[in-house]
Amino acid sequence: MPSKNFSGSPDLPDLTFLREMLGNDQDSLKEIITIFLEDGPPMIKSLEESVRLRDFDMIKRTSHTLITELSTVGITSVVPDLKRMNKTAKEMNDLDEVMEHIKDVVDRSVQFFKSMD
Amino acid sequence: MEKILVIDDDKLVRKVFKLTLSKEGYDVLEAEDGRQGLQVIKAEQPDLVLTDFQMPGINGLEVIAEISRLKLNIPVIMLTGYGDVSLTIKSIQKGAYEFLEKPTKPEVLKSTVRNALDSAKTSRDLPDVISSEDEVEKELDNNFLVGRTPRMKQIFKNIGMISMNKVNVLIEGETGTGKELIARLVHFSGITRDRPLVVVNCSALTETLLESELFGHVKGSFTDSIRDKKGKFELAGDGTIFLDEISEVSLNTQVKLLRVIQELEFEKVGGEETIPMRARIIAATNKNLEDLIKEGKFREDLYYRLKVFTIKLPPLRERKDDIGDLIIHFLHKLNKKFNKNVTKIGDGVVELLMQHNWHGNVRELENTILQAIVMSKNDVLERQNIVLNTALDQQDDGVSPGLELKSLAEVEKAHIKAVLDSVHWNKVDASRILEITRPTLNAKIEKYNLRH
Repeated sequence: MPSKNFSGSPDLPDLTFLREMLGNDQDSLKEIITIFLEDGPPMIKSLEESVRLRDFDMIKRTSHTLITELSTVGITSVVPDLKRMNKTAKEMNDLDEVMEHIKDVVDRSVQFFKSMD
Repeated sequence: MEKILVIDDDKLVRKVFKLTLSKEGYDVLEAEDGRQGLQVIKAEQPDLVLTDFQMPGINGLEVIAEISRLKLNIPVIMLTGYGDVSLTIKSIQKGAYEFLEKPTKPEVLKSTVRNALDSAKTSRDLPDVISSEDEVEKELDNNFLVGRTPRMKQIFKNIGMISMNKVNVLIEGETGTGKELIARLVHFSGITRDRPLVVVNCSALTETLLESELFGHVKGSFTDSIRDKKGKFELAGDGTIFLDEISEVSLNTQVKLLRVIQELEFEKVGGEETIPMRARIIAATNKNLEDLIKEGKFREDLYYRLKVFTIKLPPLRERKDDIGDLIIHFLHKLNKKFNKNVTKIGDGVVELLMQHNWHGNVRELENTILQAIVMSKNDVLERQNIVLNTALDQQDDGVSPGLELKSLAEVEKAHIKAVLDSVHWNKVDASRILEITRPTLNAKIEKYNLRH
């Protein structure tokens, strides 16, 4: 299991930041979420592949992008795990488990976004 | 309508910035990498550029450099992601107006954009009175920079500015806050980086010895001066002289220091030849010099000569949000140094460290983590191995009014015994923690008659 200090509970996305940023404009919010639904899952897939291949350069790059991306759309519970991955992937014995956890949380968040009207 | 260009290879980030700033009434253009960004800049001449740092091909620093080369006078706000704090200095040196970390709070983004546009307008309305400095191309290795709190970021930005000028700097901060580290950063990140950096601990020497250290001496000027010796000011040349614990300098020496700063020259002790002083002075203190001035222990004129620019380092208890990053930083550093492999943080460790008051600041945190690493039997930094010094907290709380006043030797004896016990009398580990050699440790064990 990922270290508790690096991961929180897989809550649903918190859209407070985005709403503040976009002045509570529903159309803009939808536009951003649509982009995330297009770009986010392939990025997770790419990270997953990098983890499988132990391609640490790619893990660093992709996790770096995902930290910003997921923070922006409010999937913050896995951001500490991504930060840990970004800094210390080579030394992580639980890399696969952490990846699985991130994927699980993002998958559920994607379902949540898709269910939003 | 003012035009803003957002350059970022992340479509989502670009779109968030575009939507946010459009609502503020700006005309927002987009580019998905540095190359496309530069094309838009040349074609559209935007009033402001927001650029990501890490992008394929041309990165954010290169975008700034190109704008500068073209003399377009467009302010640039550098956007960075996680872990790019060390870029702050480079960005500011290259001419970035500001440095924002993504995701950026809306109010921060809006005010920074407005300020940048206003500042550029003011600049455009005023004529140049002097020619600008040549661009500095030298790279900077700032891997050791840790600090994401607003106060630390501001300090890094200030260093970016002052390191390009040879102004005197006064660094104020409690013991263990990293004053020497900051001094080194100022020296090595700017125009003095290829010059000498000379460090003088003013509290470690008597008045006579300090003067000899600072100014040098000629043969025969006092007993034991068997040959001429260069002083630190001379050795610093065009570089930097770092005067640590400046508050400990005697009033007599203060007068001499003042003269060096005013006249930019000095003589060796016992000598007549005048030697020019070209170094930048960085002084540091853990005391309030203004209080010392009121008490007549520090010269006011010297104080103002030293504090052309002041950096106030916050104590760790006022930047606790940095503790998480500092733990990771020290794990990296200390694992490497002591050949350990502690890569995980156990339950409750971060919370425990966040609650502590850290009177010894970052140095105390590093020592605490070192001790825990040394004591760890696996790859986890465990709570049970975190030993915190709570004596000063108790004094703060007023629950230890009858604090026993011990001699230095008693305190040293007790501390050495505690460290030895904590590492099960492994003298190699103990000497590392105590930062003394093994022979010195053995001598102290014998001196204090310590037993396992």
